[in-house]
Formats: sequence, C-alpha cells, structure tokens
Amino acid sequence: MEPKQPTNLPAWLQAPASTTSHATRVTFWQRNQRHLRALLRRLAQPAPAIQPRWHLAPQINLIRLLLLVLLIALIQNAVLLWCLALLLGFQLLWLPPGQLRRFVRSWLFSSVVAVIIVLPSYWLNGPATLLFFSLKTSLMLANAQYYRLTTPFQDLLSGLKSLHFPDVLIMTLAIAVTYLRMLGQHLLLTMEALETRTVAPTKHPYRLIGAMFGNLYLKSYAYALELYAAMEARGFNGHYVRSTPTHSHWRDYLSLSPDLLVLILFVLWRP
Amino acid sequence: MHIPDNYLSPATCGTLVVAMAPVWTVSVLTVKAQVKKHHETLPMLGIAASLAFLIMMFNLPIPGGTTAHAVGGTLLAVLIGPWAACLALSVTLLLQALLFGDGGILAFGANALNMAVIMPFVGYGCYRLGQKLHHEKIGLAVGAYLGINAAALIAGVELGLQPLLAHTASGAPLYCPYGLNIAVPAMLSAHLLVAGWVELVFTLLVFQFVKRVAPTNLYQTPVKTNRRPWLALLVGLAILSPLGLLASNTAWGEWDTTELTHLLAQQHLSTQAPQGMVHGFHFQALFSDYAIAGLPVSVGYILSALSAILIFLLLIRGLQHGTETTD
Repeated sequence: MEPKQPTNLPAWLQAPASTTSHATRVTFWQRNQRHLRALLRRLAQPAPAIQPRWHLAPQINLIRLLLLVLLIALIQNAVLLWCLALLLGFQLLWLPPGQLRRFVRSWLFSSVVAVIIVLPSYWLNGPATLLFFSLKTSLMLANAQYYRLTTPFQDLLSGLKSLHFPDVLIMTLAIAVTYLRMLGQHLLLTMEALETRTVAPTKHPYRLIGAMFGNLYLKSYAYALELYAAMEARGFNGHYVRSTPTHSHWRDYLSLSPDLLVLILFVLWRP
Repeated sequence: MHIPDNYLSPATCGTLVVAMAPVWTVSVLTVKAQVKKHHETLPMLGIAASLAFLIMMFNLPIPGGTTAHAVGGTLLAVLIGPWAACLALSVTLLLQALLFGDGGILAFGANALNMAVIMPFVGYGCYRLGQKLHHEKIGLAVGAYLGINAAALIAGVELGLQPLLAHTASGAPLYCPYGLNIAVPAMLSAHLLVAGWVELVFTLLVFQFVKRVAPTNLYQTPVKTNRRPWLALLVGLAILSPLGLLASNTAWGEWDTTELTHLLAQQHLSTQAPQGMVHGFHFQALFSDYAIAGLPVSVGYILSALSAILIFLLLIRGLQHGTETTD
C-alpha cells in the first residue's frame, strides 16, 4: 500500500547546507582555553616518567641537574661541552622512541625561542658569540628537559626534602601542583560557560576577566579553608612526612662521577 | 620577564640567590606569625601559587590584536599580604623553572628578586600609601604599574651588566650579549607601554571585584606591629656610626676629580679625569664630607650624624597620626 502523502523532505532540508568555513579569528578566549586544556591534560595524565636502568635517589637527580647546568654555564671550552653533550646523548639512548620524539620536539621549540632573543646580537658581536651562546643554552635546556621527562613530581618533592628544604616550601609546592589542576578546571569551566552564554562580542572583556579572576580568588580562599579543616582533621602538625626512603646508594654517587670528572677537567685543564 | 638560563653569569646568579636567602627567611618567619592568627594562610600559600601560575598563563587582549599577560605580583600582595605573596610567587617561579621550563634554574634567584620581591613590595608600598591618603584605588593602580616596571628595570640592569661582568679577553660577552644601553630600554619600553597597563587594569578590576563581593577576604594589615627590632637596629647603627671615622681613605667610587686623576695615573689608564666629570654639575653641600668649618673632623662627623637623626625623628613624629582630640 502506497502512502497518500509523499514522503519527500521539505525543500529547505533538501537544499545542500552551506558549509563554507569562514576563517574565523581565534579569540583570546579560545586561545586561553586551548592553553588551559593542554595544561590540564598534562596535569591529569602526566607522561609516565621513564625509569632508567639505575633508579637514582631523587636528591642525587636534583644535584646532578644543578651541577650540569652550572658546569655548562661555567665552561667556555668546546671540547668539555662536547663531552657533556655526549653524556646526555647516551642517556637519551635509553628513552623509548615516543618519549625521545617528545623530548626532541619540546627541546627544539624551547631552544628556538631562546635563540631568537639573541639573534640580533649577530650584528653586535659576530657569529662566533651567537653560535657558542646558542649551543650552550640548548645544552642547558636539553638537560633540564631530560630531568623533567624522567622525574615524577613526587620525586622532586622527596629530593627537596632530602636536601633539607623548609617544610613550608615543600608543602606549598605540593599544594600548588594539586590545586593548579582544580583552579585550572574551575577557570576553564567558567570560560566555557561565559562563551556559551555570550551572544555578542564583549564590550569590556577586561571587566569580565576581572570578575572571573576575582571569583577564582574567592574560590581559592574557600578551598584554603576547606583544606585547612581537612589537614587539621588528619592531625596535621606542620611537618611534611617523607614518604619514601631516600638513602643514597653507592650507585647514586657513581652516577655523579662523569659530571665530577668534567668538573675536575674544567678546574685543572688549561688548553 | 622570566630570565632563562645562560643569560646571567653563574656569579650573578649565585649572588642573587644569596641576596634572596634573608628575604625568604624573613618571609617564612612572618608568614608563620601570620598563620597563628589566620590558619588558612598556610594552605592559601600553595593555592595562591597556583593562582599566580594561572594569572601568568592567561593571555589578555591588547589593542592591535595581540595579547600580553599579567604577573599579579601587586594583586597577590594586596590579597594575601606582601610576605605571603613573596613566598607564593617564589614557589610559582620554582615550579615554572623545574617543571615547565619557563625561566632558568640557575636564574631562579634573579627571577625571584624581580617578580617575587620587587614587584609585590613596590606595589604594596604604593597601595598602603594610597590607603593612608584615602585614595587606595589610585595607590593600587600606581603600585601595579610601578611594581612591574621596577621589576623590568632591575631585570634589564641584571641583563645589561653581563657584557661588563663576564667577557672574553677580546671583549666578546660570555652571557647576555646586550649591554645596558640595549637591555634596559628594551625591557622598559615593552613594560612601560604595554605590560604595565595590562597589569594595572587587571589588578584594579580583580581588586574591585573582591572588595565589592567579599571585602573581608582582603589582607588586613596588622594594626600594631612590634617595632622593637627595628628600633634596636636603628639605635645600633647610630651607635656604630662613629666607626666611619676609622676609615682613612675615600670610599671606593666617591673620589673627587683630583683623587680620580691621581688614581688613573697610578693605574696607567689616563692622565686626566673624564671630561663629563670635570664639566659636570657640582653641588656644594653645606657640610661637605660631614665637615664643619672651624671644628675637628670627628666633632663635625658626630654633630652631622646627630643632626640627621634628629631631623628624621622630627619628620617621623610629624607624619604620625595624632591621638589628641580637638574641642
């Protein structure tokens, strides 16, 4: 049996929808939302820190990073810098391919940014200074990036604790990272809500931003009160308890030996 | 304004970390005292650090289609107190350097001095002055603008000094290659023209919002502070001031043109003083070199010191709020 009424769709539905994509300007709201989402992704699912074959004590890792950055800053000898670069290169060999690519991407980006700032000095001091400065800065950034990639946040806290940093500082750091995610989430939701409800471009975006951050501060204050109540309920006495044993092993000191060797060469070697 | 690694020499970085150590110590001690009255200050430090991180991350639109970000140093000082803001901002900078690669690890002391000390304290000082003159919003606006620009100026000086402090035998700079004539104008122009205004508007609007919605959540300056340590320090320094009489030579850098010419000749550098100094402005003070005509140097020195102390005490007394009532 055939239907009496034709089942054709109305004309306006049959007409092809105009899907012309206008190249819209990315507003500062969208840019901020993108940055926030990236930060939240990073905080929510931090890339698993790679466990090297020799798991070093956190404080040794921290000392090693400081020593390396200091050495690179001090050394003006190309051969010694080359040795330090080789040392880092060997360490990078242990990284899984995915992490290695991530390392290279991030390192290249930060190095390019650092070099762009000093690029005009080419006309002031010539290419040699620029090249040497760029290489040293890149090497420092590579070492810092390697540390970030291989050290979980908890290890950073344990390292600072082992190096006798004040409890207030360690606790503040721990709270800051935890609440960075919560406040970031709150800020993102506020921005999304504002964007959804706004039908026309905001006349005074700064007033809106002021209200948004004012609100964020009040939220922070409320969080602080709740957090202190929770801390008190759990018997907080102002001391940060060391969660993992962080005794240094002979292997930890051994891991410092290449850097110390370069340090000795730096002090004694006069080419 | 985050100075990356390798822009400052290790000597500069070390000096600035050492310079920051007493500031951090006083901050911790002051905040501990603050915690006794307001328990929430302790967790608030960490939460304020994350708030500062988000403020520095948030891009604000500026005319011309581009964006800039505020630092929030003055704002935090007004919201949670300058010492707590100093600690919170230091933690933010440490996080940024170690976990996010923003700002140098060695340059942490320099960044902390610029953004966690100079900015909040200059800003808070202006805000308090405005409060005393019953124009707190103007004080806050001036503080936010001056705070960030003072920090930028110091960062420019730190960077610009590097070619003078660390260079090769041929004069090639080892760290930041730009001298003071480039670094200071570059840092200041960007902040005077753009970042300062962004900071000002942002600080003022957030402050206005918080003051309207929850005025009790603003930092309340302690009414009575223990002035004994400061008085003891001042009295101690006044008692020690005659030690200056033991010094026989002119202090370094305080030479007149004759002494300078003599020193330059001794060092085989030049036989005459720089022309700018010879033909520059010369002010003849009433008691030049703390000497009073007709009196021995030591007596003139002590009389000058006593006069200065008396003038400052009278000034402080005159600026204090009176307690007497008028009929």
